[in-house]
Amino acid sequence: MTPTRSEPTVFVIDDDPAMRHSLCWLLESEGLAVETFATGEDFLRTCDPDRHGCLVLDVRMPGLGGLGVQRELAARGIPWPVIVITGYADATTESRVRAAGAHAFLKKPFDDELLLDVVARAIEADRTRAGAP
Amino acid sequence: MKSDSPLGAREASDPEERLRLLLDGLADACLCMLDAKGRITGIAGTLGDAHVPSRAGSLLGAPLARLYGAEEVAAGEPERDLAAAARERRHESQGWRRNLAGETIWAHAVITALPGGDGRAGAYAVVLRDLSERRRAERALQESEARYRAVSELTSDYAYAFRIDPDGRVVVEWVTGAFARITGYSLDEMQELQSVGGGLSIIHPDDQPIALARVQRLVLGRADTSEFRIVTKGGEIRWIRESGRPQRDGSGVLRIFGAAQDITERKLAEEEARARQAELAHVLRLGTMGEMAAGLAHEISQPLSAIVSYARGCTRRLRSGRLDAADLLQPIEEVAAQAMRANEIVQRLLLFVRKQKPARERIAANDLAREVINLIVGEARERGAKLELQLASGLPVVEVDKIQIEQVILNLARNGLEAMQTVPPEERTLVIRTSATGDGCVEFTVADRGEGLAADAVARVFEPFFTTKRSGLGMGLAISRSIVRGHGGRIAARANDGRGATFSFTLPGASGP
Repeated sequence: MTPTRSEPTVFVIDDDPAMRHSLCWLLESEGLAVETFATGEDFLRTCDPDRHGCLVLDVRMPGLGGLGVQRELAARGIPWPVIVITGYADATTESRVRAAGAHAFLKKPFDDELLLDVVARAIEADRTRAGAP
Repeated sequence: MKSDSPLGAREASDPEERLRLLLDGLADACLCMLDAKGRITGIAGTLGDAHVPSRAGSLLGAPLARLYGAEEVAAGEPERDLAAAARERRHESQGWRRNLAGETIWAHAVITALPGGDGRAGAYAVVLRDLSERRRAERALQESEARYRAVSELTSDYAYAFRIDPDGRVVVEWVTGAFARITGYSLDEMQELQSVGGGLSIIHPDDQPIALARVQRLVLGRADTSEFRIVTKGGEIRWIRESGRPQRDGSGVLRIFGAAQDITERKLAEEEARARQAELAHVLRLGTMGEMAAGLAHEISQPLSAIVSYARGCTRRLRSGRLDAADLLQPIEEVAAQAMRANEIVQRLLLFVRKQKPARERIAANDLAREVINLIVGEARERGAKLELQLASGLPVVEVDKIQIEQVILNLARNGLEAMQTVPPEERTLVIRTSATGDGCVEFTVADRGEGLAADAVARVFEPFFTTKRSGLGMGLAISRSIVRGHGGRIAARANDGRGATFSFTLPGASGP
């Protein structure tokens, strides 16, 4: 395994360029490796199940949408923790997202501490899972 | 006078004969010589009758009455006229006469008594001039005017004629009907206003340009129908619709016939309807905004989240000391840019929801479509739908109430998005298109790929309170139709051949530059 593959990565998927860039800027301030994608389809096309990390995923996007990405990951058996972010959190959306196995559900605009904490724990969870026999 | 052969001999050398030949040449006059008893002794001139020379002989010896109409004869006019001429030496009359062929004509007659030896009239000369043609023309004019007045009185509240003399003087010739009741001014007062050049002073100040343009058209000989407000003598504002028809006669006098209607009631009703519509549209916009709340919250949370992340990313780097100051430039610029973006969203909403007086402005059709895309992009994202904008180039400018027309497009677009909720996300595409129609209109089309429309729904979808949605009043499309019609356009719905429905409406291109 190459070092880049073993290094945990935060995959940011949001159709809004300002959201992608700003999340990247914030996550990198903690020394995290970040990759950004404008659509769920883009991400799924290049996603390598051998890598590690977590997803920061916008619910509402044209095309597949956040829920669609979650379902596709589940279908492919990729167990990365998914942190779902949304601008408008109605109860139905939240319950659906959680039912699809989301690691966390954050409402925009979110506190940076909260996000970084959730991301750190998600990466930890993924590492534990990967390290387990 | 050769009474025995007045027209027989033709000796041009005879001065009397020469005069007679000259008179024969007069087409519309004749000269008859009478003896002291009023019998015809000689005739010269044809009075429009080419056969006179051959016929004149048969008239010789006939009484003056032969030249009068039957009724005039019965009334004893020939004798009276002759007696008057004998008394006053000269007598003029006008009335129904007969020409040499016996046809009735309208003529002017002068009978001159020629003194005889005893100081009494020895003979008479009668000059008849046929005025039938002139009389016919005058009558035709009078009849036409009378007809105009009669029709005007039936179809309008008041009618009038005024003339503009070559020297520019304006004279009110007649006014009929309810002029005084409507304007508060009597004819004399109106004449007074005209004579001091203040004929337009009863026009409402805001409508003076309309009235001036109208006068210019009329003076150039063009008919005109205009609507404008007047201020009555009592200070009341009334709406008048006036049709004017100019007529210039040979002497350079311009006569303007007009018919006016008091359309105040209609105008007030129209204004009230417009105000109601604006109010209804406002309420609907508020409702629309409420329904759009989810999309809007999402829309505005984007820049706010970005600001938080950029700012906190900066403070974390500052605290940790791992920092190159130049690296902060771009994120801080981004913070400002995203704050502006959030502000734009708020302003756009304010503009849309704000209660406005209905006001028309000239605007490019494509700008209307773009504005709506800005308003709906959040909701489209939330619903996972793709928006496609297909704008035609070279479209005519439209003159519309921008907020209202945007609302129509927004209604159609939101309906389209809602209709696609049940189809797979990758198929959710909403197309907003502008195009030119053949007749100078702009067509806006909103096409979705949703559930489509049943045949009975196509027919009823614009009816008030008709809805296929679980929530909603069913007023959106009804109000949209009333707005489009209010702008002189048409709105239509149809089911697509494949999937979904298409709504389209037209707006007439604005006239003028």
